[in-house]
Amino acid sequence: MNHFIKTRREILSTASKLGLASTAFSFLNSEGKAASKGASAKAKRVIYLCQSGAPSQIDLFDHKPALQHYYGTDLPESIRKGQRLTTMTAGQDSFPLAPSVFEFSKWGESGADVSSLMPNIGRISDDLCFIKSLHTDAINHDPAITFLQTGFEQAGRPSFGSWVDYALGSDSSDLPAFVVMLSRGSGRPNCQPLYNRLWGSGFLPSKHQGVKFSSHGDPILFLRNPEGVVDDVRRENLDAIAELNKLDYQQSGDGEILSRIAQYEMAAKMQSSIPDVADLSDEPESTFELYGEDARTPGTYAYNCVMARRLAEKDVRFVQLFHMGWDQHNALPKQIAGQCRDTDQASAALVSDLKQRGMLDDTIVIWGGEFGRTAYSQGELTPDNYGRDHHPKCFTMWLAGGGFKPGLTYGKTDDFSYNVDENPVHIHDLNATLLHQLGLDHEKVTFRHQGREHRLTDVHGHVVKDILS
Amino acid sequence: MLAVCSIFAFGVASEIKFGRDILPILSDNCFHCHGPDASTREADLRLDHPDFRSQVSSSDALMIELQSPQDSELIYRITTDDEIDAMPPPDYPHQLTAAEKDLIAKWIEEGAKWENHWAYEPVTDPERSKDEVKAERDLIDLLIEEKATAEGLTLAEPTSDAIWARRAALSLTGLPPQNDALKTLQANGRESYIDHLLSSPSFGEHQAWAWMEAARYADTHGYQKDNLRSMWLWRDWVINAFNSNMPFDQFTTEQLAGDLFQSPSESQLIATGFQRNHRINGEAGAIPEEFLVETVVDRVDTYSTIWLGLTASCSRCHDHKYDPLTQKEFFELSAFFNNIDETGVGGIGLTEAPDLEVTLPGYEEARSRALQSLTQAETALATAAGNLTPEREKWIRKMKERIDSSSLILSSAPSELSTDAGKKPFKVLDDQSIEIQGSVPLQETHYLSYIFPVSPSLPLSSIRLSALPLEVGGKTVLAKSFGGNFLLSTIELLVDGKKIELEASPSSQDRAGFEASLATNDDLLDGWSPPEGVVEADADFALAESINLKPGSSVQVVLHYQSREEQQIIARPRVRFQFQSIDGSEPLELTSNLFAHLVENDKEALKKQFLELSPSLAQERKTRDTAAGDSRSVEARYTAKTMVMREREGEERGTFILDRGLYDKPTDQVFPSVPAYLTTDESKVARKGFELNRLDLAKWTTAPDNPLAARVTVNRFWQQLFGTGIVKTPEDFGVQGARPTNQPLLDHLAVSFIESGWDVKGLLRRIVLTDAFSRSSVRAPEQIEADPYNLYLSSYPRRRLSAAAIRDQALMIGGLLDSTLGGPSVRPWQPPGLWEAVAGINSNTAFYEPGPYAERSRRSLYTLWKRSVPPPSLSLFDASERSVCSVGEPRTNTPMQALVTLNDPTFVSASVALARKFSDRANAVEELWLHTFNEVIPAEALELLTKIHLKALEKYQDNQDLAYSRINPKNGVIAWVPVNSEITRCAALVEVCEILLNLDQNLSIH
Repeated sequence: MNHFIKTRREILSTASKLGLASTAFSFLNSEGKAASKGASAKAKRVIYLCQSGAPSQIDLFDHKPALQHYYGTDLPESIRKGQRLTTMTAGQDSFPLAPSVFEFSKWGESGADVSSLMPNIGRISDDLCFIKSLHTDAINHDPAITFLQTGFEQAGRPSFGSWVDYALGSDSSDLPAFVVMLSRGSGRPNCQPLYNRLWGSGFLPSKHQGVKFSSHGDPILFLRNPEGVVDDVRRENLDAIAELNKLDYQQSGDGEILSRIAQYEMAAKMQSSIPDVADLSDEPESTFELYGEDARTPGTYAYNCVMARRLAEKDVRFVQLFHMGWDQHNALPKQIAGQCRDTDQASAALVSDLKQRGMLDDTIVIWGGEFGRTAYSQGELTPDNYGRDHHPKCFTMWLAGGGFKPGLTYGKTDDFSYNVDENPVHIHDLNATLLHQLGLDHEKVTFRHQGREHRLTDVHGHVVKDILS
Repeated sequence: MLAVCSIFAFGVASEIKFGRDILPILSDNCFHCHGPDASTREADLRLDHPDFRSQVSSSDALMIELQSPQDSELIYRITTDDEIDAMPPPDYPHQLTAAEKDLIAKWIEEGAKWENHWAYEPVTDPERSKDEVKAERDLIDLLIEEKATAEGLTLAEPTSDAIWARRAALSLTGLPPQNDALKTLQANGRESYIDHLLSSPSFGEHQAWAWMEAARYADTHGYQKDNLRSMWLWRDWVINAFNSNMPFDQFTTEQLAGDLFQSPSESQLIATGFQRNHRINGEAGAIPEEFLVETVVDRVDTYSTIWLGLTASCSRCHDHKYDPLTQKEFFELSAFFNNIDETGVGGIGLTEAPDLEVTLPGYEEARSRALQSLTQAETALATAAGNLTPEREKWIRKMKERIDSSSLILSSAPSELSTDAGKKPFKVLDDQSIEIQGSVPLQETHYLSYIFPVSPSLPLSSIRLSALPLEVGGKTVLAKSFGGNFLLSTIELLVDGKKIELEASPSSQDRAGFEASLATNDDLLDGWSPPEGVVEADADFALAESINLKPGSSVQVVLHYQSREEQQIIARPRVRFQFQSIDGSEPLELTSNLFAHLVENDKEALKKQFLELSPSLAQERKTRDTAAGDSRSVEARYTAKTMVMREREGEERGTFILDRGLYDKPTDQVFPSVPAYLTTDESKVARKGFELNRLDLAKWTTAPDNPLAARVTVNRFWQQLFGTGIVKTPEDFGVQGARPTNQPLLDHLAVSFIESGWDVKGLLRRIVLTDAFSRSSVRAPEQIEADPYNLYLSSYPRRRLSAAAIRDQALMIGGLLDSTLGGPSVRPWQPPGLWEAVAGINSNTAFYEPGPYAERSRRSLYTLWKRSVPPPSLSLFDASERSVCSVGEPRTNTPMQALVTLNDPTFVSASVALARKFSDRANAVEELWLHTFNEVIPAEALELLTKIHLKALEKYQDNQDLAYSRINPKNGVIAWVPVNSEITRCAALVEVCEILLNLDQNLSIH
């Protein structure tokens, strides 16, 4: 932790020489290892559309026409190769293969495979870079989504956004650098839970933790003045606090007091900047045509997508959405349709909107969940109904902007979407590549904890050059 | 070749010490390939071992050539430009600096003397003689001053009594001093003041907070379900242990191995809960073997961090890269913790085996009191009923007439509820409905069995199934599903084992596509589900052919739930049986029991029924029911469960080295043993059988041959008192950890701690009475220049208070703090929706309900700790998440924190309560300052605050409504009705209080 104290003090002493900096976030977050910052940054910010629960790659992107021939037959052991199963299907007598009930088409000039569930994504697929060959280590949700977001299955490590905030600091003068928003899926409202640690700072200083915006009440905790507190009185109180703290600083010489003054000032700014950014009443009708009517309702995925764009416009470094409800163990066809209704239009709208505003070039948009789903049915298989269990060995994500090759489909799985056949991309590789596009060397963005330099990619990860333009 | 000045620039004294100066360089830059880990070792060279010095390289050069140091292979390798020979290789991320190369060269010149890593050397107290010579000053001060002087620092002046008193109180009790503290201090002296603090129960509470963070204590199991758990008995054990000044070695042994004592006391068993504070995964699909490994690894990690300052889990996958802990030794250590009678998963109920049920103090008395009230109430009811004999006879007569002449609806609770997997627990409610208990799976079939000892003469013509409302997590639901609705796939009726066809009657409650009629076909995928928002749903199912029941007939109602989406099982069903006469008369509704008693003319039973049903006895029954409820709840209120350690019976589980740490890749079996480099006792190392157990480990931990436990422990206490440890990485005393800024001081503290019999209060008392602790925190620019991080303590280190102290102090200054000691965790107010936003519906922590006022002002360590959503106001101030062991004391400074102390209703309440205390004083501003900081207000502050106060007075005089709402914070800790005359005064003073409580000097210890 003293690593942090050291740099913070250094920065503060500079700040105090320069007089009180008004942009608290910018100087307080700039303690990241400057050495790791390269001039090669293709992207300035990230919008991470995390689909919690693990969407079925087989029903959305990883088109497997061959599966039709195997309908109801058992997954061959030559494919499964003893792969471990969760205890939910380990006891199943058979593993009947379940082809997707959804139609697939080839979209755009790139001819990307996207199922009829995601027509809007299909339409913009020439802007997207699909990775079909993602794979991960864990097979249960908690370890897997923790791994996706922190690079480690067990709790205690910093989240992706925290690392980025630590390394790059904030470009925003009055908003946090790392904002998180949650929404529940209508496909499966009774869904996998989330945990604060998915946007936590782990062993990094806690100021790097994501700031969760709530969809009801105050957007962030304790943002609003209590009832009975009027703005001008509060303003005078804040001035008095600053004045008395300054006197204290002059006597005690502790630079931390200057930081306290700046943070109180920042808090006051956030009291107006955050309600402003969360108020969509200044959005034209066209926004709701683009993102869908849901975007009018706080707490929906579509609303959060509009918010993501608004925050990106205000230079928020890392916006993380979690959309819950993708865990289709049962009734997959019905549930996944609901999930896609929630997300298809708004995700596509976000990419188009950024593009149209000229922001897609320096913004990475990433869409995906913590693992994939099995080709065989969990529970009874009928022609129009099936479920799919967890599958870590292959799944699909898409990326847009930020220097990722548009119109590319990368990696290939076998006929059962069970194993990766070509160009495997591990989560560590993905994370290394994302950092690379932010101008960061994943081996050099480190923090010393428990005697060693820790990093997001642990001791793994290779930048996947093939998917970069 | 050697530039002497660069060595001085590096800031070391002239003599190079290997352990201090060279080892860290080698470790950082070379150990990855030439360190303790055999699997990645190159060229068979290990620089962590003294023998390397005489090793010969492939080009026949000695690694170290003492005669002509320049010819040493080591020097060649670190200085050459040759791409192949250069070390570290040019593309390696770590490279030596010129200064480091110089140091290594100088070390060889001086004879290349070998030293072990300092922390693995035995603890000795070399400065003892000095202690005797200068007995008038504490050796702690001499050692600090020696170091500070050597660093060219001037020592700060002593601080004022007021500041010292606050510093000591916050350091030892986590609370600011009492109001009369300064007077007491000046009257009785510092020693007596400290003794008073150490004997306060708040001392144990404050110490417990740090220990809870280290021990990853929480009130939920963690992982995705994150259900509630019960471990507060362990937390209270910790508070008591600190308050009774249990020697730290005993404190260690009881928590690590209390269950292995010969006949352990209940308290010693509770203590072992330390090792059950780990998370437990209840996720469907979790593989027990996998999470058993995680549990055991977590125990090793926690143990090693707390007692050995060792980052052991690095060795889970491979030999440690920097410290001499092999992978084999890691699993040998884990073998001590791997024979517990546990499954590795669970985390649904309050405890997971092994656990212990404890009867709490006061149980006997409460039980006899409750029984007495119940007996009284029952007697009163019986007496009242006795006075109503004529009325009763009339009622029986009338009922008998009616059961013979009208249609009947008999409501009945099932005698048994089973599923295909066996019996399922349920609770019978007064209206004959049942509340289904136990797990709520996705799909289940419920067999409800009814016995009719006496059957009506009329035929059974239909059954009516009702789904009645149930309170779950503050919501009224029909099923424990996300939407609160149920979906009944199919209903079947069996009479004496024979299936009777049913037909659903249409109802106004039907929902299109989910009519009750869909529950009578064989298709399991559709079914009956009422419209959204229905509070109570009924459906009538007529028998295709009426049937006469025989006496003793068994009737079974089978409810199939085959939802493929979520848990849509009726939570509180009731079945009523209709026996229809041909004439269609208005049916009489009664329970099947009453019906049987009437038919059998069972006088005694009817008497009882009358007593339960007669409207004339309603009052007496209510009194009786209350007493019965109290009596039932005594058991629940006065018993508590807690998780403990208990060895498996029979064969040991057996521990194996796991290839790359993976649970499904076991290799060689290993046995409980202590890492070789940590002990001189051969009998504890590399055992070949189950000779050692946790008790041996616990005893060795605080035995004299362990060089680490005392050092690591005193370092943590030092960190508590000075903000930073003498070793600033309290979790890592290994080669990669920070070196002590003052090793003689650390070792002296460790030795004297052991010699004192591990006397915790004694250690703390001694430290807070030193000059170092009483130095001013004001820092001169020269001090900041020479020692920017205040490593050498030439002044007292000012820093922000801990999360708990920030909140507790506010409550105490406002006079709101409830000082009740111990008990189940409490739920103060928090912003709504935090749990709901992330939780799954099947978690019992999906909804947060704040507790009553009494729970809002307890000390922070009692706040219910949900791991996936820790209490926000504590979490924002750097409290640990409590998922894994945490021993650091990080302090950040963020805008979110400012919003807490300005706007969180708890803090607003503190300002209001404080204002209320002083609002009738003439010199309120001065007195407030004195009350808060124990010192006279500086002139500038007085001027500024008076101005604010007067302006606010004026403002609130003109706006009484505003003033009223200012002093009645919503969701706060207080509820009060001020008298009119104080509203303005109080509101105006709140503004001053808000300022005071948000000043850095209030939020800091200084």
